Amino acid sequence: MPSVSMKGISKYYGASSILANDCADLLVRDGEIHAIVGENGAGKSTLMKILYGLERPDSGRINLGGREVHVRSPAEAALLGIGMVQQHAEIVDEFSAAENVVLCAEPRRFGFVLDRRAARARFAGLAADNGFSLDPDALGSGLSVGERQELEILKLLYRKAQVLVLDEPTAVLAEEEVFSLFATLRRLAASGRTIIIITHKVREVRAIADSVTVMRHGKTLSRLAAGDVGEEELATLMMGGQSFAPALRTPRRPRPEDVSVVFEAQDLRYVLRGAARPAVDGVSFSLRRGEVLGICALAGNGLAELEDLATGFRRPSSGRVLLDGRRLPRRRGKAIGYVPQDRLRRGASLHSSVQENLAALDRDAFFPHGIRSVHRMVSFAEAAIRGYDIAATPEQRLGSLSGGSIQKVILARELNGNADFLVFSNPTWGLDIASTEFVYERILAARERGAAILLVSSSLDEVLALSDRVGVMSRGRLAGIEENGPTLDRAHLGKAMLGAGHAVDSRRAHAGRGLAMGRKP
Amino acid sequence: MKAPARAALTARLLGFGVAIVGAALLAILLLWGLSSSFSASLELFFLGPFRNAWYFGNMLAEASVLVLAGLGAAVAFGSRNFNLGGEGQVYAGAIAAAAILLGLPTASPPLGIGLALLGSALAGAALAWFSGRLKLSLGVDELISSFLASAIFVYLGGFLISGPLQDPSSNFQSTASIAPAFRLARLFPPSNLSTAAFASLFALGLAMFLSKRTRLGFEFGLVGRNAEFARYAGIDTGFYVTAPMALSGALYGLAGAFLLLGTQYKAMKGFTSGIGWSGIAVALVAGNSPSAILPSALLFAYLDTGAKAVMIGSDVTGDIVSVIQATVFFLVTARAADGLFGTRASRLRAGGKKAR
Repeated sequence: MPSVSMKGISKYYGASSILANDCADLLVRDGEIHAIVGENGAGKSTLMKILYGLERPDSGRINLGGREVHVRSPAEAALLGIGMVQQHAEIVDEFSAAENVVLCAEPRRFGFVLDRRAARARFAGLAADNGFSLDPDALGSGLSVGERQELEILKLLYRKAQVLVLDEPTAVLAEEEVFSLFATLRRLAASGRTIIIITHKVREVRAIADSVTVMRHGKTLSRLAAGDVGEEELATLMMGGQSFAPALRTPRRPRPEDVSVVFEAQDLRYVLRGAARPAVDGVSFSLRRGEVLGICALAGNGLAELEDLATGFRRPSSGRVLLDGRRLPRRRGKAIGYVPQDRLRRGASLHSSVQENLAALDRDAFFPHGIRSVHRMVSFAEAAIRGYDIAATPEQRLGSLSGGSIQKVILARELNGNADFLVFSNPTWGLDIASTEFVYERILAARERGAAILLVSSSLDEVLALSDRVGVMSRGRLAGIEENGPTLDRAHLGKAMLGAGHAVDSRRAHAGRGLAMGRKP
Repeated sequence: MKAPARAALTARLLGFGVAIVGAALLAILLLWGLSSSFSASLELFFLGPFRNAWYFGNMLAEASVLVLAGLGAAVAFGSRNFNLGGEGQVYAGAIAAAAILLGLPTASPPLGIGLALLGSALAGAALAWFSGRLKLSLGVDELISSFLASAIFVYLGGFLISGPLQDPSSNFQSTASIAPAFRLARLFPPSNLSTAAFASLFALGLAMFLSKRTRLGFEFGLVGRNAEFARYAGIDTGFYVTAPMALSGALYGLAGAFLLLGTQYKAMKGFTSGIGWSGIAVALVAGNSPSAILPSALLFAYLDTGAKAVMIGSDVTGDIVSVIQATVFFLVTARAADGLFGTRASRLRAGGKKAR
């Protein structure tokens, strides 16, 4: 009964000028497990947030069970029987599992007192019916990541959700937890519920879904039966062949004076508190002057953590990060240029002016003897605005600029000091073609002057377009680093990245060969 | 393209206006309901502070102490550190100053006053720094720890005043008066306005210079607006937890010292009369911006003085003073709620406007 159809959904985020959904269509039949796949920023989450009432579409229609509905808020979605498990579980740590489940819809005594016994009983019934083994009295703070997810699903079932949306449910799970989640989802589908799961792991689509919709650049490309489509075909559809790729740059031959190692990561391991497995697991690489090392991975595979470790934002649980042979300083100085993935929170002070943002890094220069040099600040801002073609004035509040302009301000600041080591994380995410091209030029210009550049990105196209050497991360491990070039097996890289790397790993173990990713014969 | 800055200024002025008009309307309503001679009370309330030198001078004297307390609150809030311990820190400053001056009755006035100011600043700073330190090393919420530490100190201070520092010749719970040589000159007799006002203006000017023109103020503002960005830019964010807390406490301590040196001459039990809290209100109305502290402190002192004039000159009871103060506080904090906690909401609003 609860089939879902979305037609012509468009959503434009004015503040960051991103067209997140571009006439997207979705059809999910009742009782089906449907996967939505796509790269980061393809618009999967936005589409589901629209279905769940967290975002309002600019245009388009939603039909639920054949009837047109308008979902204005998650509360309305709940009334319609739509529930969503977000990427980060929303659980009250101080409450028990049973209390968390009944929160906001509690069984009561005398109309206002929480009936704990009834809450536990409802919880136990729900858990037994659906094959969960959660302890109703366990505190939220004591639950593992997998259990927290089960609890989120229970919350939806308690509210009688018939359509369950899960946003990247496996990103944080260990292997066994994934199996148990999939078993749960199958049971729920068998009992007549409709399930939509967002993922970018091709293998999982084949393992769990009945049908799949591929999204790219905000558009829905095709709806396929999961059984009919091969992993590679799906990967190609997701990554979008060469048509979207910027022109491949010729890798630069290292010059003799460039051989010195600037940056080194030695056996980095990073374990998030409470995580089932390390986010970064035994990653080692070194970076010489005048080269770009591109590391590609999809979200949840340790790329964000690697970014933090390489820039000193987090300390590794074990292993070492060396810049010019020394440990990273406690606070980042001018020696590292860093364009973070999280531009709006980490990379920029939205409530400060453009010139203040530009002056934030090299404070020694803009505050001689501790006193602000208005002249230096303004003239640097004016130069940056001219040189980077930023549509703004020095006095303008940064938050009022477009996403592309904000990124240019960040670039102008980070590239100004001619640092020997540069880190770019998803530097063109959400940017239009012209801005992307501009960012690429700047990165390559920095390479030309001899900077060692670490590019971490979830776009394989981007990594292949800019890097001299390429590595791929999956589940916290760096699969291997290859010279970039026309002989590099792109499909293989894509597969390794999409979590199909297990075969590769085992082959590596059996054959004992050096690199996990082979070239074309 | 200074539009956003202008919009922010307009919003602040608007908030200011709302607080003033709202408080005035409520005062009128209360007087109308509570006073048998409505028009006389009304006149006393609104014009009383300007009627004679005593009221006018006292208003300025109150404002000068509120400037210090308001700066103290703004220094903490502006860097997202919530120092709610102003009461205790004012108390600590005053008691430290009293103890120093009573201990050195024959010191030369510049030396004595200098030591007293230093001691009071250190006492207030130590109390607040402690909360900042706890936040940094143990993750203790400074809002709660500063409030509780201050509450404890208020009783400790009460003990000091009625115990070791008690004036044996007095029946009140109070210290002895400081030597006349240490008392700051009165500017506007018979009112309490003293040269302490110059110290407040000096502190205000210094704060404005620091915040607008120095690296310290720049980094301070970056931390306050976005701590993650500040950390990313290599700023020692830990320093900007303990230092603003200590500076905030020092300013509160100085407010206590100037209250002692310029007005009271002795520390009595409960003599801070809520300056620590009023300082918060002043900072909130001013949006934590040093340049807006002076008008904000004057507004607060004006309303307070007007209420006192009514209390003395008409049949309205003293409670109206508290009610009106509470009203101002309420209106002010209601507005401040969007300035302090509404950054996300205002950003969304800005984004929404652009999308439309």
